[in-house]
Amino acid sequence: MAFPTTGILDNFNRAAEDPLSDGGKWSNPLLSGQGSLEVTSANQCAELDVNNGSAYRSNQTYGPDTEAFITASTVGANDEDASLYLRIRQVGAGTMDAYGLSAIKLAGTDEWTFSRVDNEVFTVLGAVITQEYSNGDSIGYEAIGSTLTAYYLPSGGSWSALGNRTDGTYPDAGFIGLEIRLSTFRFDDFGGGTVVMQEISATEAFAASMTEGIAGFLVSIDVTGDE
Amino acid sequence: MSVLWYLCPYDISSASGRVTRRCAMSRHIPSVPNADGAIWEEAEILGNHAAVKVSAPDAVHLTIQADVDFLLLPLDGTTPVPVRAVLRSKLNALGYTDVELDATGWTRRELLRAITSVRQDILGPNATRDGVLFGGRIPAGKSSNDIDRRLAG
Repeated sequence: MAFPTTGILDNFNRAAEDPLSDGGKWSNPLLSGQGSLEVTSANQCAELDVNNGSAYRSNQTYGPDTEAFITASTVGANDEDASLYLRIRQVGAGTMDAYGLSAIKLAGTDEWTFSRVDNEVFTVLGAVITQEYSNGDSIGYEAIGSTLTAYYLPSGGSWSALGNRTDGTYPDAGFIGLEIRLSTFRFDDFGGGTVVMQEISATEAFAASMTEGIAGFLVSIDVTGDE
Repeated sequence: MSVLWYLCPYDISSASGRVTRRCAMSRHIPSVPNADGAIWEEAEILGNHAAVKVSAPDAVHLTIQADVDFLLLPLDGTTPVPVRAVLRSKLNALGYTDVELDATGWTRRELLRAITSVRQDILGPNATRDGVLFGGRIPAGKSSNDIDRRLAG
């Protein structure tokens, strides 16, 4: 299935803004004890006030099948990380639940980790995935049913899946959000929303039914047409 | 490559004020893919532990088995009686009752189904934000069947 299926929600192309708001569509922070994100005068999303900042699109929930993506215009220094969150719920002091994907800059190969967040405790799901990323690359995250998938888009390239994990703890729709830990990262073009399932045309469905020898499909079409 | 199941704890860290649980299998196979070709899948169980299926070269398994925090589960089939005592003691300590363990008939498949059906609820970081407050048992989000679908063998 293609990724992403949704468009950009915020390109940050507006006057400097602190905290990040977009007319009230963002709320800050997502995680207790953190600072707000903001829009810089260079039309990028950043965290400039304290070490860690986070925000989430609070104007509507998405899903349950959900995706989010963002471009790292400038990646952080070693040990800094950027995270995307899906199916966020119960935002508050020590109460937030979600699924997270963190891309951590390291002196060695960068590491990507999946997490389930229960009341702000992070449980890493499975082993770390190693994938270097640099300025202009994008990070993507998708939750379909109980499958969580990480995506990577090199600048000028195309999206590819890095790996996936399974967890069915939080199956419902929720908010999507973003976190910057430490403050060198600059982001652009945050997107996402409810995954748009690919529609199959009537012609494709008919061809598929003939291929699979489902005679009943043809009969049901005729009956429906007569009525 | 051989495929084996283990029980192991979650390691808890609190770097940068973030409380993080990480399956202890990460001590021995931190990232995938890796040069050894080793892979693993975990399912949370009671007692801040996980049941983990590992496909790895024998040398990696030997390293894992040398770690005192890891308990190797018996091969498929009915668990020999002497091994049951060790397993029962461990699983009792994690929160499983004799009734639910005996109901599995002590086959590895049924034992894994039973223990991966529940996990410990997570109530949040502790007051000093360097540990986890656990609650009672809740349905797990990933089962041994999920693991078998993702990691054959």
